[in-house]
Order: sequence, then structure tokens, then C-alpha cells
Amino acid sequence: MSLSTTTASPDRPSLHVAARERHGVGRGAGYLFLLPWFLGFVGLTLGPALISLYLSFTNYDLLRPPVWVGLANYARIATGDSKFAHAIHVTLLYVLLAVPLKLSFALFVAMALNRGLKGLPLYRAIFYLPSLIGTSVAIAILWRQLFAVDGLVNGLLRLIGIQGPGWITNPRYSLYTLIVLAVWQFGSPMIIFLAGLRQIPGDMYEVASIDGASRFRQFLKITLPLLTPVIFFNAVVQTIDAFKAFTPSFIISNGTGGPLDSTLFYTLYLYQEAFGYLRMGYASALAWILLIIVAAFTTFAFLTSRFWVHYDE
Amino acid sequence: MSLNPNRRQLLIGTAASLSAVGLSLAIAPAMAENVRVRYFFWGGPGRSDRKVASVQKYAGAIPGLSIDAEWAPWGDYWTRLSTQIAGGNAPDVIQMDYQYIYEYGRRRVLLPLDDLVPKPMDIEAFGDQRLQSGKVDGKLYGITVGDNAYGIGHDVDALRAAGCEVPDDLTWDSFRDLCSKFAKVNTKPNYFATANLGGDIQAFQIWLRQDGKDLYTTDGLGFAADDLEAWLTYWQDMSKRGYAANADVQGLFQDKMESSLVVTNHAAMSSHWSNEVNPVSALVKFKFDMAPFPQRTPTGRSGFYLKPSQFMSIYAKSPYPEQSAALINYLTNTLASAKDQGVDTAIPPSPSVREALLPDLSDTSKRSLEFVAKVEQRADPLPLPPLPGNGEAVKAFEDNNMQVLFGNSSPKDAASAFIDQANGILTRAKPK
Repeated sequence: MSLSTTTASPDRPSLHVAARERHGVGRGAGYLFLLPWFLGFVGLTLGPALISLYLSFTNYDLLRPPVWVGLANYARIATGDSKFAHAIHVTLLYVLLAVPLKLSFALFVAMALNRGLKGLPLYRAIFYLPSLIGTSVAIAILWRQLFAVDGLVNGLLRLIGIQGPGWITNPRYSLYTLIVLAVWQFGSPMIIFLAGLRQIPGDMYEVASIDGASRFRQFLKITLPLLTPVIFFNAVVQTIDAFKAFTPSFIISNGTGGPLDSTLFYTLYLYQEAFGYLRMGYASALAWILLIIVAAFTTFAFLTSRFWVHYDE
Repeated sequence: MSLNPNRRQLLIGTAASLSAVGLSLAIAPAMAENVRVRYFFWGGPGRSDRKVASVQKYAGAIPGLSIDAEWAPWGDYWTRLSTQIAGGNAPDVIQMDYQYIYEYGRRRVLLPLDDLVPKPMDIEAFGDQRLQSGKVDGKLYGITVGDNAYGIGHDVDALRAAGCEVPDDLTWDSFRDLCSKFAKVNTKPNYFATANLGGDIQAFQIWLRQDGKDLYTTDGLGFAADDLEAWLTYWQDMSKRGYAANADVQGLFQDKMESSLVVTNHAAMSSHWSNEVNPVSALVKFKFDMAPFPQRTPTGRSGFYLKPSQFMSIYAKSPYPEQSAALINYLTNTLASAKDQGVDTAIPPSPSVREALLPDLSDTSKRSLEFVAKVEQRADPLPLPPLPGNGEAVKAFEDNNMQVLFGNSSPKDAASAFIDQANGILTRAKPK
């Protein structure tokens, strides 16, 4: 997802390689430098992924050797698992609400900060802070306290005469508190938006305002179109992130996905199956289904991108 | 591939030191006096640290023995244990629960301990029933660390301020009256006479046993939808009247002692285990005590039972079964260990140890002991161990009660929903 469209020309580097080979350094050194990454990739990513593919066709329970069960796990996912359908529903709701809200908010703050403000680096750092600490366990616990039935949020509401519900203990609201938590971590897309906004030449706005275009029209006709590559990048990254969300629900619901499975993210369901009920084979199948879903979303985004993403020529 | 000399030296050096490590690993088991036993258990801060210190003292007195004692909170414990076993990295001494001993025993993860009695484990004085509780298919897989009893843990001060106290001979009707009396005086917002125990499957089990039924038979559920409907109706009514916690407050309870509504100051009463008197008392400012559960009728079956609090087991492939068994004997059967730990884990199973321990006990420990004695007087036999899948059924049970409390479901619908779910869960978990 590189932002630049320039690729290295293929001829010249190969000349360099040939030159180096003549000098006896050879490809060996290159491979040696590659080795740390390669070992990590094979040992920690590709290897476990392939093993999980194999396990997804077994009834592995962690305690006994896996036994091949063919497509039984996938068949159950497809037909007999209402919790799977529920976890998909919760996760999609989370992705479809949290990502657009977070991106809009990040863009809003980025535009506010892009007005030649004094002390910009300071504000930027402050607004970025939640992204650094937001996925931490401490914040999840803090969130639980804030939104508890007798927590700070309800304390403030009581000042204006409203008795608030238990935001995190009531299944009607619990997922939304997690969405608010996600939106609050708008820092990293904001930084990227800021960088994107800086790239837009100021004279465009100048010309537009001389022609009498309103602020809003300038936003629609200049800012948004020129920002589409950055929006695209942010949307893809944030969507993948949102599909993988785990910690907030795990901590806030104590690993249950409660109340009443209202925060049962897909990853949390997968975790429960694997480690709570020792169905590692089934959980592996769930993991591969998630991979396919995320890949489908990303492919869709890339395929449609040429209709709405405008790259600078 | 050409390496310059420096790199080659580096590699040779690394290889040499690696093989040295390998060599020392290979030698270690051969030297008899250099035994390293790994012990893994669940617990909370404070009492677990005391246990680790006690174990280290024991290891320090035996030349050549070292013990790696690690602990995790209950929820993490089972995750870490199963991953360690899967990774071929299982601890030698494993803490077990009554709920899991069948699953682990039948999967041949645990070592049968029959040959290690009476040497080094001299535990016959524990009594037949206590030893029986650690058996799976006739083989001994777990040594009980002692008795634990379930009851109504309560805030004595809050109740007294409302002119109430919890008697030892509650019935479910008099319990409701007690809560009513408390609720009339109580003015604290989000504070209730009792937690809503409708989702507490172990409390429901006691209620069932008072009717001569139980949660499980040897191959399925031991009760019908009607039984559960009556229970859920009782608790729905308790919350509707404002005696028991409402759904929003009950949701704050997260299946661990620290989040009990009594500990977090949301209710004057809730269900607790007898070994929680000490740790709860350390967390709260009020006087915490326990009373037996209500009964259907004062003279009928109590349904109470003494549960083996925890078991100690040995990993089936442990290289040190003898030393592991000796450690288990120390922890369950010696005054030295009992003095270090008090009744944090359980009331010690050995009569002589229990007696010798009595004079040194703290007030809170004595309260725990007295409560267990009250339950023991009326106790019925230990129920059958939970069937595989119990963990998942427990969660479904809680959820169905919450559906009733949130008004999403009637007790009747929630009861039949649970029966369906539980049957599905048990069938799926049935060992093949």
C-alpha cells in the first residue's frame, strides 16, 4: 500500500548485483542480511499459519495428538454454529461503525490542527497519546470504571439529573462503549491525515476562494479528492485492525464477550474456543475463515479504489 | 559463501557455548541430587506469595532439590496449563480442580498416584471420602488439599446497621424476609441486600439437591426445565422487589472473588467459598462472615456438601514422581506448611494437622473453620463430578439468568433455552 507510485527501474540494480558478484561478495551476504527477517517470518508467521491450516482439519484439544476430521470443523461453522454467526454480526457492526467514525474524527482534528497553529507539535503529541496507551490493559480497566453503573460518566449525568444505565454491563450499550474507545484512539490516522493535508498546495485554495468557492465547497472539491490516497490507506489499515480487535473486549468483559455476548468479537470467540474449551482444531478453522473475510474486504477495497482514489500525476 | 575470520570465530564460539549448554542439560537428570521440580498453581496475590515462600523453605531444607513455583489467577491458569502441556513443557506438580480432574485424568495427562501411597504420601488419615474424591475410574489422580464449603458470605456491619443478622437456619422464605427487612432501611443507591444468585449454578445445585435432584447424572442433566424455571422465578422476583441486585449492577460481578458484589460494596450478601474469608477480609473494611445457604424446609435435605477445595496432581510424564509426591505430602499433610498458609486454601484434610493448627489461627481463619463445621454437620454426600463441557454450560447458565433480569426472556423460556443449550454443549463435549 505504498503511497508513491514510483518503482525502481529493473535494469540498473541488476548491473550492480553483477558487479558485486564479480567482486566476490556474492548473494550470500544479501541472504545473510535477509536471514533475521526470514527466520522470523518462517518460524513465527508462515510456519504457525500452515500448522493452523493443518489443525483446522483435526479435532486437536491441546492435550492429545490431533486426529484428522476432514471438513467437519468447516461444516459446523457453515451450518450449526449460532455463536459464529453472532460473533460475525458483532464484529461487522464494530468495524462498520468504529472505522468511519474514527476516520472522520481523525480528519476533523487533523484539519483543525492544520491551520498553522502555534505549538502544533505539542497538540499533535497530546492527540496521539490515546493511540499509544489506548490498546493497553490499563485503559480497558479504566474504561470499565468510567462506564460502570456508578462510574464517572453516570456521576456527571446525575449532575444534570439523568440516571444513566450500566453502559458496559447492559448489552444494549456495551458494544458502543467499545466503539467510543476505538474512536478515541484516532491518533495514528490523524497523523497520516495531517501529513496528507500538508501535501495539498495552498495556492489551490487561494484560487478557489478568489473564484468565490465556500469553505465547504473547497473541502468537497479540493481537500477530499486530493486526500483520497491517504483516506484509502487509513481505511484499509483501520479496517484490518478493527477486525483483529481483541484486548478491549477481553479485558472489559473479563474474557466472556459479555454481557450476553454483546461484545463477543470474532477474535474473542476464537480465543474462547481454543483456550477456554480446548477446541484448538475448531478455533484454527475459525482463524482461517477470519483470514478469508479480511482478505475479501481488502480485495474489495483495492478493486473499487480506482473509481474513487485519485493519485497525483 | 565466504565468511571473514571474525565472523567464523564468532560462529564457532556460539556453537561451542550452545553445545556446552546442551551438555549440562543432558547431565542434569543423571546427577540425582540436582532435582528441579516445577510446581504450578492458581491463586491470588498474597496467599500465593505465602505458598511460594513456604515451598521454598521446604526446598531449602532438602539438599539438591530446587522448586520452581509459579502461579496464575484462576482464569489464566487453565489457559497456561493447557498450552504448557501442548508444548511439552508441563509442570511436574499440577493443581487440579474437581471440575477438570475427569477431563485431565481420562486424557492421560495425569499420573496415577496409587503406588505413591503411603510412601512418600502418608495420607490415609484423610479418610475414605476425601481420598475417593480424587479418584477417576478407580485410580487416584488427585490428592485433596482440604475441604471447602459454599455459603452466604456477608457484610456483618452493614446488616447490623439495618438491624439484621444472618441466622444459621435460613429457609428460602426467611431469606427473602431478611432481604426485605434490609431493603426497607437501605438508602444507598446501587446497593442491595443480596447479589442476584439466579445465574450461580452452584447455588442452584444446592437448591436442586434439596429436592433430591442434582445438576448432572453420569451422562446428562439431572433436572428438568420446571426445576430451573422455579429457581429463575425466585430470583427474578427478588430483583423486581429491589432485594437482589438488578441486571446492571449484577453485571459488575465477573466470576472472581475480587468482583463479588459484597467486596465491591454493591450488596450485603453474596455466595462465597469458605476459603475466601481470609482474602476477602483483607480487601474490605467491614467484618466479613459466612452462613450456610437457605434450605427449602428447616428439616428437609440441606443439599450442602464439602467440596475438595483443590487437588494436587502429578504430570504423567514427569521425570520426578517421587520428589513431586513428597512435595504434595508436604503441602497437604504437614503442620509446617499448614502454619505458613493457614486456611487460605482449605481446611487441612489431616485431623492431626487441623488440631495442631487451631490455637494459632487468626480470627478470620476461625470464622472460616466454624462455618465449615456448621456445613459439615448437615452435609450430604459429594455430588458427582461435573461432566465435560461444564465450563461452557456454566456460562450459558449465567447468560440465561441475565436474559431474565434484563427482561428479554421469561423464566419459563430461559429455562427451556438453557436445557437445549446445555444438552447441545454436553453432547459436543462428550469424550469420543
